[in-house]
Amino acid sequence: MSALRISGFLLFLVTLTLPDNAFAQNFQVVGNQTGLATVTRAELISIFKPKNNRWENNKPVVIVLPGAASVIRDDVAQQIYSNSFVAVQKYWLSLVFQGRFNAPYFFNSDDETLNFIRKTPGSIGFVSVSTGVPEDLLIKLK
Amino acid sequence: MRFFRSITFQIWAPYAALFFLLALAVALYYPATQYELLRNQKRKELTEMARAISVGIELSLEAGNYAGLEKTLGYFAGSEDDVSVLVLSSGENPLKPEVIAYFPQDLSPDLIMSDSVTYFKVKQPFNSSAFSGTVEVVIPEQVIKELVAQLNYPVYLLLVLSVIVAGLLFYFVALRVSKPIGELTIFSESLMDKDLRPEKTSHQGNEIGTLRQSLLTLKESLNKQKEVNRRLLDGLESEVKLRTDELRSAVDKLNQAQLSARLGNFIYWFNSDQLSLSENLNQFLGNRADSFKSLSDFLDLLNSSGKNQVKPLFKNSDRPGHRFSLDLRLADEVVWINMTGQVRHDEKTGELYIGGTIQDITDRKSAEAEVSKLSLVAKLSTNGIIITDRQRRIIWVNQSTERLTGYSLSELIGKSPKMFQFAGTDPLTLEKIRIGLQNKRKIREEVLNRSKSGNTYWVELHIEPFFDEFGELEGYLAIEVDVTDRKRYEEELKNALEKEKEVSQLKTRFITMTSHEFRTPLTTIQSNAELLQFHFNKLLPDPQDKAYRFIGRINSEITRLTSLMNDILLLGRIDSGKLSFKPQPVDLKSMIEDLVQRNFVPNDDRLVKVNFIGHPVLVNLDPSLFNHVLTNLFSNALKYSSGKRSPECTVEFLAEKVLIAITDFGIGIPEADLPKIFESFHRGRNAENIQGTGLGLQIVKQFVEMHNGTIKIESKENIGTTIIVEIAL
Repeated sequence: MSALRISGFLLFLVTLTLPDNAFAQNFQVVGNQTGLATVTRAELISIFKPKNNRWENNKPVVIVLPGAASVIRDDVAQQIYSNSFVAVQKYWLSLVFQGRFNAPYFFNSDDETLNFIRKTPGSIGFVSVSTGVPEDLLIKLK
Repeated sequence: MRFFRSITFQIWAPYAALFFLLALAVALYYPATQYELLRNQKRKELTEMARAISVGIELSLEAGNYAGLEKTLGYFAGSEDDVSVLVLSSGENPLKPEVIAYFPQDLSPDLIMSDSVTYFKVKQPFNSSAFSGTVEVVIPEQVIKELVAQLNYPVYLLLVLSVIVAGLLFYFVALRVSKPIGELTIFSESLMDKDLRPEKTSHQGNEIGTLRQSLLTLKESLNKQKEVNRRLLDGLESEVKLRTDELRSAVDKLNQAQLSARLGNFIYWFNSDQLSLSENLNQFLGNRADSFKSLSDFLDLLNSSGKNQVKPLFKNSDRPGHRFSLDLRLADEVVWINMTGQVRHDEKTGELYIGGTIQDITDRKSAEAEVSKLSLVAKLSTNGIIITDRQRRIIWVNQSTERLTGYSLSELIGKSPKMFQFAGTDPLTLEKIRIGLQNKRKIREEVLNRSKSGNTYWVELHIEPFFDEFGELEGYLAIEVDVTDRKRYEEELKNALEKEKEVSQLKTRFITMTSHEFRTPLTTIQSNAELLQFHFNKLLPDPQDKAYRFIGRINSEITRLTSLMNDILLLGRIDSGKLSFKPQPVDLKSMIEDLVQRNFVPNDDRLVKVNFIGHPVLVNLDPSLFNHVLTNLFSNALKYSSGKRSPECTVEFLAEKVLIAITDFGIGIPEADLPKIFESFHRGRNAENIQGTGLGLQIVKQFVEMHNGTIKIESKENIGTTIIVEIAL
C-alpha cells in the first residue's frame, strides 16, 4: 500500500475524531433546490458517493465537483472520497461506465461552480470557504 | 456398379465433381475470408468505438465533463454486438493495469484480460493530465463466428442448392449426351451377343447418328455373313458329328474290343518312376488299376516270379525300340497277365518311357494247361489218335497209333489214313465212311486195317470233324480203338451161340418129343391103374389090402411124373419163347379169394388165410399164368407147413404197385439153399421127404418176371417162409 494511501487513511481516522466544523473549514457546500438546508458529513458522503439519482423533491441529483485546477479539489477528494483527485476521477469514470448515475461536472473555479449551481436545479457542489455564497445556495454542514 | 461404369456417369461425374469441389472450396474459403473480413471490420468498428471512448474519456477528464462520455457510452451500450468495454489505467504497474471502469457490469474483467483467445480485443490508449490508460473494447470471438455463420448460412445454403441443382442439371445433360452413346453401346452389345435382328431407326443428323447407321450397316452385313456361316457351320457340324460319331464308334469299338479281350494299356516313365494304367485293367487287376502311381505298386500285384521278371526289365531297359513280352502271374496265383511293351522316346520332352499293353491271359493259360493235359492224355492214350487237316492228310498221331500201325509220326505226316485199310473191310462200311466224311458228320465204324508189318487188326473207328470259330472245317479227329481181341471174342461167342441155339432147339425138340412120348404111356398107366382100382373095389373089399397101397403108389407116382413132365414142358415152352403172355385187367382180389377156397394139398383141410389192405383195383395180369403163380405159392405154403397153423396171405394195394406176401409157419428153407431156391431142380435139403419137382419156384419166378414184377423170399429154417411178389400197377 502506498504512503499516500496510508497517510490518507490516518488522516481519515483523525478527521473522524474532529468535529464537523473542522471538516468544513476548507470548503463549503452549495446546492440548488436540493431540499437540504443542512447536511452531515455522512450525508454528504452518501450524496457524492451516490446512492440515489433524485432528491426527495424529485429533482435529479447533479453532482458538481472541483476540477483539476480547483484549489479545493484535493480537500474535497480527501474529505468526501478519502482519496486523491485522480481517484475521484477514476471513481466517477467507472460510475459513468456503469451508467446508473448522472455524470458529475467538474469546474475549476468557484464562480463557475456557483454559476452552474445557480442555473441547475438539483445540483450540489463545493466552493472554497472564502467564497461568498448566497444563503439560498448554502448548505450548512452540521 | 454398372451405373458407375456408364458413360452418363463418366460425363457427369467430372463436372459434378468439379462443381462440388468448387463449391467445397468456396465453402471452405469463403467463411475464412468472411471471418477475416468481418474480423477486420469488427476491428475497425471496435477501434472506432475504443477511439471514441478514449477521446471521450480524455475530453471528460480534461474538461471535467463526463456528459459527452456518458452519451457515447449510452450509444454503445444500446448496440447489440455484445460489446464489452474496459477502461484500464496504466497505473504504477504497466504489466498489471488497473481496471477503472467497465461495462456491462456483469463482465468479469480479469477473465477477459487474461483470455485473448475467446475474446477479440481492440485497444485504444488514452492520455489525460489526470492519468493515462487504455480503453479495451472486447467482443467474444464467438460473436464474430456467429456473425460469420449468419452471413455464411445463406451462402452455404446457396452452395448446397447450387451443387444439387448443378448436379442434377449436369446429370440430365450427361444423360442426354450419353443416351445416344448408350443406345450405341446397347447396339454394340447386342452385336457382341450376336443379336443380329434387323432394326429400324431414324438417322440422327450428327456423328452419333452416322455411327449408328454405320453399325446398322455392319449389323446387316454380319447378319448375312452369319447366315452364310450358319450354313457353313451346319455343314461342318454335320461333318464333324459324322466324324465324331465314327471316331466315337471306333473308340467304343476299340474299348469294347479291349474290354472283350481283357486288354488295357500302360505307360511307364523312367525319370519319374510313374506308372499309369488304363481303366480297362480294373476288371482283372482288382479295381486298382487307376490307383497305381509307381512301378512298385504294380510289382506288389505280382507273385515273386513275376516281380523277378519285371523289376530288372524295367530298371535296365534303356534302349529305345527294345521290346518285351512277359507272361506274369498275379500274387493270387490265379490270374495270368501278358505284359507287352516297347521302350520309346517322347518326341516333345525326349524322356524315355515304356508303352504297352497288359492282357488277362488266364483263360488262355487255362486252355494251354488243358491242352497240355489233353495232349498228354492223347499222347498216352492206349487208343490210337490221328488228326488230319481238312484235306484228310495226317498232321499228328499219338504213340498208340505208331504202335498199332507200325509207322512213325514222321512217316505218317502228310499221308492219308486210307493207307491202313485192308481189303477185308466191308465195302459197305467203307462207303459209309466216305459218305460221312463227305458230309462232315461223325462216323463210327469198325474197319480192318493192316500194319506196316502186314498184320491185320480191327479198329473201332470214331471220326469227328472239327471246325474253327467261323464254322469252317479245320480237320478230322480219328480215334482208333483196337478191337481185334473183341472181334475174335465176338466170333467165338457167335459160334458158341450158334451152337447153343442148336442145342436149345435140340433140347426143345427132345423135351417136346420126350414129354409127348412119356405122356402117352403115363396116361395109359394111369388109366389102367384106375381100371385096376375099379376092379379091386369090386374084388377086394378090404381097403387095407396091399393091392390098394400099390395102386395108390402107382397113382401117386403117375401124378408126380405127370406134374414133372408138365413143368418141364412148361419150362421148355418158356425157354423157346413159345409161351404166350396175354395180360388183361384182372380182379386180383376175386382171383385170390377163389383160389384160397381150393384144397391144394390132399388130406389137408387148412385154408390160406387172406387179408386185403388198401383199395382193391384191377391189375394187369395174364390170368392163366398168374393163377399158376398163386396156385404154386399157396400149394407150397400148405405143403411145407403140414401140421402147423394155416398160412397167411396179405395183399396190399398201393398207389403204384400191389404186394402179395404169402407166409407159412412150416419147415422154412435152410439159409445155404436160399440163394439157389429159384434154380431148376433145387430144393431145400430139409424138403427131401416132401413131394415136389424142384421146378415150381423157377416157373413162378419166370411168370412174375414176365409181368415185370419181382419176387423175393425170406425164410428161417423151422420157423417159416415168406414169399413177396410185387407187381406194378
